[in-house]
Amino acid sequence: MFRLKTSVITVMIAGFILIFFGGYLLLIIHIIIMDVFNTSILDYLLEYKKTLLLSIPIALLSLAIGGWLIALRLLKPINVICQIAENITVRDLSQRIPGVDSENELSRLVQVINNMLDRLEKSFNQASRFTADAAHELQTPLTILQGVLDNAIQQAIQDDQETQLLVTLSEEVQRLKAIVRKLLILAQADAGQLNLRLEHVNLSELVTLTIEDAQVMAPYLRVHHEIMPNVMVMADIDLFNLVIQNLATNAIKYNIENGLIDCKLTVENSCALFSISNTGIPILNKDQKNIFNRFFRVSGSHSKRIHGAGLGLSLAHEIVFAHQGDLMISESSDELTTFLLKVPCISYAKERSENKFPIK
Amino acid sequence: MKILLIEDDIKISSFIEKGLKEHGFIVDCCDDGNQGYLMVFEPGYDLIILDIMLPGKDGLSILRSLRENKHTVPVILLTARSTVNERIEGLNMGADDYLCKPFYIGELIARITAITRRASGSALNLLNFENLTMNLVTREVKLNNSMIDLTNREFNLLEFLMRQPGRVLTRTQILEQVWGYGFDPLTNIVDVYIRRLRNKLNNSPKGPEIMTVRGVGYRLKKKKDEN
Repeated sequence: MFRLKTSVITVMIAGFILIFFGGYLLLIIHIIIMDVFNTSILDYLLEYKKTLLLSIPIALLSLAIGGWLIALRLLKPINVICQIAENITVRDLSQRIPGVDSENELSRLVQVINNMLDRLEKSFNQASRFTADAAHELQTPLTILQGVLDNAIQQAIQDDQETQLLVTLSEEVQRLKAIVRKLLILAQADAGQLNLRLEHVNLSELVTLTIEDAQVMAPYLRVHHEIMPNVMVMADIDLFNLVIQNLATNAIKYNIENGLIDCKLTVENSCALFSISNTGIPILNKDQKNIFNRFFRVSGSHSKRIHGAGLGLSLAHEIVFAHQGDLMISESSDELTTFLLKVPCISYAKERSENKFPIK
Repeated sequence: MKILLIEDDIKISSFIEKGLKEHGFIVDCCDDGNQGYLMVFEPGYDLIILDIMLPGKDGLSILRSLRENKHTVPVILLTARSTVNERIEGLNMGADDYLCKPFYIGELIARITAITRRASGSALNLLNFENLTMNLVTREVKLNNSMIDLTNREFNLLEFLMRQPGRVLTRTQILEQVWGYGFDPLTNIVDVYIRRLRNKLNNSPKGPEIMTVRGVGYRLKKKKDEN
């Protein structure tokens, strides 16, 4: 874009020079003619010179305006292309740039960009279809495995070696199932088809339940909580449960011995805000950007034998995003790492009522 | 109780058949949509378990023609696809329940029991096992008519056990079905909650007991007479 503007200005300067010097060249020729023939052409020439001097600025001005208009006209389709291209994201690859009217370099450019988008969309769809199909295809053998194992376990004899084998197998099947399910959710989210079974969900109850679990799983941690009761949101309860549990599990997994977990649920500007903080090694700035990426794990977590596939947070992020919410790291210092979840809230109890499900 | 199972994958239908027969149901199997279409109209079935993806006529169109002909036999749909649309479509068409693969047999049996209870008109909000009663609406649990105070999670766990009495439930199965997929399968959370629940149920000499099946999991059963 910048180059085009420069070239227009160059053309203008060239035109200016041509007119300016061209006029004087003409004048000189006429003066020579006058000298040689000594005619009364002089009067005429003086008149001509005046007209010429007057016409130069006008010509220049019209040249400038004309050049500017031409530049604007040339740049307009480029602006349109930019605006449309900016709106094309992974979530909607179906948009195309409308054709430019005239046959020129720009229409070719548009054609090239559109073709590129076609190929991108095609391969992207193939990739996400593949994940979805693979997940579906995996469900049938998993159903069989689980069913057969379950039947065998019903007849199992206690403490038998074979029984142990069955239980190990069934645990692994459950793990596979969980991964397949998560991949399926991610594939659906990628294709923009994450179907939410929306219902009224009491977020306070969900959070309270998870805190109860956290205290059971990690009795060595201090758990502080400040939960506003009856915060209602529209959510898919299964998926949201996954998010809250994932955040809580992380707060336990990446904590230090005798550490602290701090949970807060409040409402601000009709948004439910759930924050969960834990003591532990802070997440570096460079990792903060990647932490919601798939299969990303903070370096060192492999070696520390912390269990997990690195799917949880990216999944949580997608789920929250699909609920028109946001999930981010709001703080990560030496003392505390805080994850903040924001989601539109429909109603909440203004006064602190007695908690229906006390934590014991 | 006689059940018709229409499922094209023979391996799946054989473990379902086995599980249901062990539970005392009579099961007829069919692995083809066209044949299944004829069988659903035969009298005598108390319930139909129907896979959606079938060779020949698919499950949803079998269900549709069944309901169009005013047959009210309860239908449970099975599917590998868990998209919301299909679920809603199935339920709108008159399916009584819907189960996504992979599922546990215990879960299927619990759904069958719930549907037959609904059909027989017995109270839906009450679960009973021996002298233990659970009210699903008021969330009250009574043992020998005295109230037991349970936390929300303990209640959910006991409900899960009471829906499948006698079955051995592995830790991972309990974790998956009571807690969902969010937790690490390596935690001991299930054992802790079982211990708590046991302490709360233990003061009755007779009645239910959560038995440990060593190395496997847990089972809700009647307490043995010590004498």
